[in-house]
Amino acid sequence: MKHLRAGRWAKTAAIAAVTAMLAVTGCSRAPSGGGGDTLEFFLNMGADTPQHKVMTELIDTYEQQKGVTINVTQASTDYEDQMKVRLAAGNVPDLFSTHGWSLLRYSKFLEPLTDQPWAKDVNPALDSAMRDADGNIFAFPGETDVAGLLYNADVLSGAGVDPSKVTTWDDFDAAAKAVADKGKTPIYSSGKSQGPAGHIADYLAIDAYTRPELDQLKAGTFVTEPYTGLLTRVETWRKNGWFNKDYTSASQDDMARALADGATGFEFMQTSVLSQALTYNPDAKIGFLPLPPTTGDKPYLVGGEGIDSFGVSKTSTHKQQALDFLTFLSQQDNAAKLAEATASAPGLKSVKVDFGPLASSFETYVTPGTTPVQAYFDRVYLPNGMWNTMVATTDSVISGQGSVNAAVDQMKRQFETLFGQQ
Amino acid sequence: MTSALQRSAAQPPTAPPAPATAGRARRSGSYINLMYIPAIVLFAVFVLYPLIQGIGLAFTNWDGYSPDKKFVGLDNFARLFTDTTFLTALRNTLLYGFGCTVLQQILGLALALALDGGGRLRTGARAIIYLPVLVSPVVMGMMYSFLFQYDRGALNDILVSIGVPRVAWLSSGAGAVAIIILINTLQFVGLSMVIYLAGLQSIGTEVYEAAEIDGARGWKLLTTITIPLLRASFISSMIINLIGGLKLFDVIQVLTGGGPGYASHSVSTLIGRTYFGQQAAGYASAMGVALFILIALVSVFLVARMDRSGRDA
Repeated sequence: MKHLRAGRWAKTAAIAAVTAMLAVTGCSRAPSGGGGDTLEFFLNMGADTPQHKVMTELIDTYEQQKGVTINVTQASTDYEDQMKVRLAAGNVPDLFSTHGWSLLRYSKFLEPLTDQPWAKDVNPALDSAMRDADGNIFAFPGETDVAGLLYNADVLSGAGVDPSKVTTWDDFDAAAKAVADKGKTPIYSSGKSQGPAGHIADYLAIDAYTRPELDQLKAGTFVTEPYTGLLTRVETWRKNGWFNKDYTSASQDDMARALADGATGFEFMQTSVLSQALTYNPDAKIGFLPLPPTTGDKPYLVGGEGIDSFGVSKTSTHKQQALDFLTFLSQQDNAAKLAEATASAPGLKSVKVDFGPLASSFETYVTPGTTPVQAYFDRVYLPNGMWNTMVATTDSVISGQGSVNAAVDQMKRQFETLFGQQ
Repeated sequence: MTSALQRSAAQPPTAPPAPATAGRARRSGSYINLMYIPAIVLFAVFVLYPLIQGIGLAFTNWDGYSPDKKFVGLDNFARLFTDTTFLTALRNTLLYGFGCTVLQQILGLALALALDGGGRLRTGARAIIYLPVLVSPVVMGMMYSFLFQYDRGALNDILVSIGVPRVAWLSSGAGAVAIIILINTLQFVGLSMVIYLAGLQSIGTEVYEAAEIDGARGWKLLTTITIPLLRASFISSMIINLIGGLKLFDVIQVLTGGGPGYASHSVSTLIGRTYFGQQAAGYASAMGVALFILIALVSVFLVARMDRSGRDA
């Protein structure tokens, strides 16, 4: 009978192993937190950023006040990839960063927030980017993102350049040449981080196209001439040797350091880089100015929903607690801290912000409301999914790896493919 | 026609079991077969199901996260042949696969010949050369990025200290591809070395003695005795290195991210970029299927060669 016992044991072990494996791989999704007191918050923030420090403090305060636990998961460079996997798996966090895409990408997964107490206070400048045709809003805006030409005032003054006088591309070229003549880098960007190269194209593109051409884009026709023009401008800067020599290996953090250390005159990037630069050198004389126009008649800023915008999953089992946390973020002090951390205008009209060393730029170009703020080109006029191609094609031009025509052709093909998928 | 592996695994013929024990053997055999179930389930859940899902996705236009997807037939596969980015990545994949494999065989065999035998020095050197195999390719990529960076890169700091201007090592596609091949080769050359060392130790001394009596020396011994008798090791090393090279992902992702532009992408890294970055999960799956077919063809060819070399041995 010994072999039978051994056989029974073997059978039992095999069945137990299979059962255990099926349990492990069964992917049942338990609600986060058993007692309705634990939320998951998926943040798109680098751990070393000023906004992360502020958000951590705010979460701690909220947890102490409400007796709620907020489990923070965070990612920076691969946040979008991780988020897409979670959306595909139906494993949506209770709260998550919408980083500029609350409407176009995430709205079908998000709880509408139009009835929230802070919703009427949202900066109207965000309406086109964050509200749908019915006026619904799907994320709490921690900031009104503003982007333009970042500059180091010491570098520019050393080269005899007055930043307030840089209002045309000819002015910019003259300024860049003057900076280069002083042995400094006129334009600093990063090929290693997935973004900065794309920002250059994005900021230039919105004014490179005329209104009728933008309408053509919206209708599904990729108009190549304006894009060829803007990339030709970028290629000219490369040929002039105006980009940083370490462009391919430089990171976004290096961009902040370059501004802080006075190694560069200009950068095309969001103002959050300025706040990061100030952490390296609080005395750095840095600021931003509007971008010179191409088809328009006056300099403009680019802006919209910023990286610090947060939505609530419509399938969350802790919806009320998540909504309550957003209400907590909307309080004057908390909303101000969030905006100040990213060196951005606040997302709510009633919030007052101290911009510190950057106050001059904000008071000159943002507060009066006289400088036009254009939408991000890719978010409004390109199909969802084009950003990556924008980054790679601009990168190929800056690094000299590809021609302008090849880059434009790639953009056109990707545009047509993605537009066809919509 | 049994293979070398089959022959080596074959048992010497035994008498059939006695009638009293035949049923027991059958029963215990069926219980033993139950033990396959966990492995089969694991394989089905983690390999077979994703593979079938991936092939299915290749015929859709899914964006990778939304609930909507549409059947598009062979459109994604047709696009592969005209997509210059994919063709560049495919060329790079072949360069990574074959470039690393050739370099690893040459260096691995040279190191094995140099370090074959006893002695503390040789043993220490073998361990040091094998050590990078145990390191994560992500860590290797990070380490080498600190080496090749333009600013604060160790290599450029050395150049500057001797009065040579800095070099932008990763600024050209050709340079980036060459550096990636070099890094992968240096990391896994220890694996080839170990395989060749095992091969060298399996060659009997009497073979060399006989050759030396016939007047063979040095180079002649290497080309007429050592290398021919290492054929099985050579094929084994080739298979491991080539498949690893064709699947190269981590180092590229960490060191260049596929840049500048798309110049250093392999098909593996481009799949990731296309799936997540361009939100074209269907098209990325078609690339995955193409890569799967490429690696399968190469593997089948090499395994067939190994099978033949085993029979010839």
